[in-house]
Amino acid sequence: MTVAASEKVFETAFQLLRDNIDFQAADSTSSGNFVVGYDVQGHMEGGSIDLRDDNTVRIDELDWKWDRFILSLGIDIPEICVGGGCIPMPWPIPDICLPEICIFDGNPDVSIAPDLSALLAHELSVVGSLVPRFFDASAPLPVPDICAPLRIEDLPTNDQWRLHIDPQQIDLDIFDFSDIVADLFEDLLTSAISAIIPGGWVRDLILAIIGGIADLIRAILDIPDDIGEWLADLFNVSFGLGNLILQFIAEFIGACNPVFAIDDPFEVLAASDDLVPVTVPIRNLTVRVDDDEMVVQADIGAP
Amino acid sequence: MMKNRATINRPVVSSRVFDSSSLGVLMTLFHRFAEAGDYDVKVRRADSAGKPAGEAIFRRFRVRTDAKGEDQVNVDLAAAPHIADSECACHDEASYHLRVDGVMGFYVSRGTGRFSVEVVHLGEKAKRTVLDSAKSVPAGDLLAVTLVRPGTYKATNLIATAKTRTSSTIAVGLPKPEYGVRHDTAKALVVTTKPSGVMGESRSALQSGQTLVFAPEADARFRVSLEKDESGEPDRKSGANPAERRRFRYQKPGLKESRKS
Repeated sequence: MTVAASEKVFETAFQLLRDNIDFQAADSTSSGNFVVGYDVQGHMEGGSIDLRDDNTVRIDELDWKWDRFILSLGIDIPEICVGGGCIPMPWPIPDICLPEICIFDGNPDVSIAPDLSALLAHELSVVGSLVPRFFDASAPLPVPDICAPLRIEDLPTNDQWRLHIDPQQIDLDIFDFSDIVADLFEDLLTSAISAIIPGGWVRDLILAIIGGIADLIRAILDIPDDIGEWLADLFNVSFGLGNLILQFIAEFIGACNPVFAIDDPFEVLAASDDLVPVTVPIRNLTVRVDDDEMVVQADIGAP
Repeated sequence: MMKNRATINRPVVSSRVFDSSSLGVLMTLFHRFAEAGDYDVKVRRADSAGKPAGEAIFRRFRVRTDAKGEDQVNVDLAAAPHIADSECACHDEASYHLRVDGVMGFYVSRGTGRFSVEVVHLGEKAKRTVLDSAKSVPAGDLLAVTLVRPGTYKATNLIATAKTRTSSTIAVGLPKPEYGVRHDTAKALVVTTKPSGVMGESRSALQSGQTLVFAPEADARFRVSLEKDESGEPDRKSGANPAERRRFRYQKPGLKESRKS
């Protein structure tokens, strides 16, 4: 048996997969005086399919869009105190040390959680080869079943040949926070801190003690340069959200959801009246692609 | 979405008058325990109207001094739980252990409460009061006042015998903001007062948050009050005494008349 599917048919099948991608993730980490976390939801749009004669499929210009990209940051403002220090006394009397009196009762916490979804975008490309996998309905599922949360449809009750796009390479733009995002983030943080500082001379004094809000933010977050770079490092390295997305896509299309599925045995004549359906077993299924189409070949009937 | 939990320690920024007879926020009284032995320390709290501390003891504890104790202990009078005289364990175990000549700093970290401290040396034959802050700061002790509100203050020794230079003027300014530089408040200015009450410095300058330390050579009672606020205008809120501050008051109608009669 030989079946051929055009690039257009393949594209339609892939779009069904793509439109069902719903990536959600949340994580947080704390360091010293701050807690930072994210709560995100993303999906894919667009993309152009190119079947290639090296037996691979290339999907370009996929847009990764965020439905929600909430970046939460809570910082613990250090104690802001006056007094302290020691009064030098003549030897051998030990110095007398003054207590510090703090301007706030306890350490004030400040938190912001802007949604940056409208300000972030990524482009994605996938190169993969088509691989047939036989699904044995009688075999137990692996434990743990990593596909359980990723499956678009329930597993069939019968055996199937399933064609997956096995990703050989997935490229995703790294997180690059533009100046707009960095400025928005810093403005929100500055506003949140400003809101807890009283006005007038008290503000001037507190700002003098902490060395300015911008300086305080950089000191607390340990930001050597600019906030945009810090955010990028946070997501690219510390959280590794990019790798998380790549792993998600690889599992989603490579392991959990086929682009085509063929029942085994395959029904060639449907049941009618008193007649049972006519089915044939499928063996030795292979798939290849060239510039124009995807070709599936298999032996049918008894071996 | 923003969330914050911040409560300002208001007395830090609103205090205008500091009197050694009623210790409040930004004031610390350092008492030197010069002799070995046990001391009975009684802390009294002024009433809510700011009147001088009454006889009721807010807190009471025992201090033991010998060769092995600590050099210094600071006690936050505001943080101390209220202990009734009858409930305290002050007659059994020493609450604090200082070395001879060690120092105890009595300070108030928060709140509007005003306190006085009485320290009685429990000698073998007789009890002897070595400190009663409601009356005076004895020679050898130190009174520290951290001045936060910018303006011009007048410091006076209220029980000076001298007729001149018993007061000092202190200008408190805001530090100039410098990018990336934190204002250091830890530097203190020490002002000695002679036995006659003459102040060692007639005029001095501090930056907001720094501390003025009075070192009397004879019993003294210090009062520091804001004379001109940060704008240079005479400060009208200082009043002569915390007790004289303006307050809201409910007066039951007819009560005054009935009392008169």
